[in-house]
Amino acid sequence: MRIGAVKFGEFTLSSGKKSPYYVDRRLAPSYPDVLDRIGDLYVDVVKNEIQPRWKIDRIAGVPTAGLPVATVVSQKMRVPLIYVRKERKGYGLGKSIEGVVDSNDHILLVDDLVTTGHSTIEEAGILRSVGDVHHVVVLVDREQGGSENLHGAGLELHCLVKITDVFAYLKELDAISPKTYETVMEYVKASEQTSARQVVVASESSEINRSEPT
Amino acid sequence: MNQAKSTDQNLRSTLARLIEERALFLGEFKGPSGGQSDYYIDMAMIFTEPTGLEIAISLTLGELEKLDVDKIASPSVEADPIVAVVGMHAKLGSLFIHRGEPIYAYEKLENLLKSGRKVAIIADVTLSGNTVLSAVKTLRAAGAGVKAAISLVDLQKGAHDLLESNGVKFIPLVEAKDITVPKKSERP
Repeated sequence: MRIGAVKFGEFTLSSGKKSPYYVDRRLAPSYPDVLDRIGDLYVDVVKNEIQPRWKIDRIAGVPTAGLPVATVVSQKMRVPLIYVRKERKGYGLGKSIEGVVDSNDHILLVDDLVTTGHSTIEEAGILRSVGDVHHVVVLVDREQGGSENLHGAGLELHCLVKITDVFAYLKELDAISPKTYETVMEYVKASEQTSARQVVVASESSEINRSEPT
Repeated sequence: MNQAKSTDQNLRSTLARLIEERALFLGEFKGPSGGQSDYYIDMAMIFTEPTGLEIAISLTLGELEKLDVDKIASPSVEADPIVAVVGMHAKLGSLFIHRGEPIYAYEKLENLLKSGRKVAIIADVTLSGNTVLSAVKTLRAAGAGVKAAISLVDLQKGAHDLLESNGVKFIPLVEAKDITVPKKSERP
C-alpha cells in the first residue's frame, strides 16, 4: 500500500469492465523489500495451508504480472518453476509451457490476484493438461466471486489479503476518505452479486467438462 | 588468481555445463530477429530449476556489485524471472520493458525512475543485441542512465558491438565459445 499499488479513480480492467479502484500488481518488483516480504507471506500460506495436506512438485507462474512473484516463491521454497505462455513465441522452441513437468506432478498455481477467477480457471485448465492442479495462491482476492468460481472448477483459493480488508485498513489509516471507502465497498458488493449468478453457469459448465472422458 | 575470481570462474563453467545439459536444443531454429541457427538455448530451463537459478543469481549479483547502479531492468519476459529474484537479493528495484514497451498500466516509467536512474539491463540470452537496445532506448527516453547490460549467455552474434557502440557496457557471463555444441555431422 505504501508503494501506491492500490489506486482509486476510474479504471478499465483487462476484462473490459470498469472499476473504481485498481491494484497495480506490476509495481512490487520495483520495491525489493516489498517483493521479499510478499514472497515470505506466500511461503507462509503455502506451508501452513497447503503443504500439510498436499505435496507440491512444481510452482506455476503466470506472465506477465504474476511471473516475478512466482519465481521468488519458487526460489524461496526451492521448488522448480513452470510457466504458461499465453502467446507462443514465433521463434525458438515455441513451447506453451516453460520449464520441466512430469506427468501427474502436483502443480501449485501462484498468481498475484483473482477477480472473477475466469482467467485463473483458464490457466489451471492448461496446466491440467500436464499435471494435477488443486490449489491457487494469490496476493489479493478482489472478492468478486473468484473463490466461488474457482471452487466450481475444483480449485481451492488461498489469499494473502482480501481487498475489503485492504480498504478497511486504508480507511483506518485515513489514507482514503469515507466516501471513497463507501464507493469501493459498494462496488465490490455489487459485483459479488452479479458474479453469484455467474457461479451457477460456471459450475454447470465445469460439470460438463468433468463428465468428458479424459 | 584470488579466491573470489576462481569461484566466479568455476560458477561460469558450471553454468556453461548446465546449459549444455539442460538448455541446449539441437535442430533448425528461427531466431527472434529472423536469422537461422542450428541450435537454440532456452534459459527458462535454467531459471525454472532451483540449482540453475541459484548459480545464475550468484553470478549476476557478482557482476552487479562491480557496477554502480540503483535499478535493474528486464528486456523481455524470458528475463523476468532472473531479474525479479536478483533485484530482491541485490535490494535493487526491477523494471520490466518487454521488447521496448514498459509493462506498467497506470504508472509512468519516469515515476519509477525517480528513486534512482542508474540502470543495468539483465538479459537471458543475447544474439544481435536488438532487444536489449530497444529497452535501452525506452529507458533513456524516460530519463534513465543505462550503464551496462549483463547477458547470462551471449551467442556472439553482434550484441557486444551494437551495445558498446551505443554507450552500454556489455557484460556476458557465458559466451557461445564456452558452450560445446555438437557439430551437425556428430549429431545422432
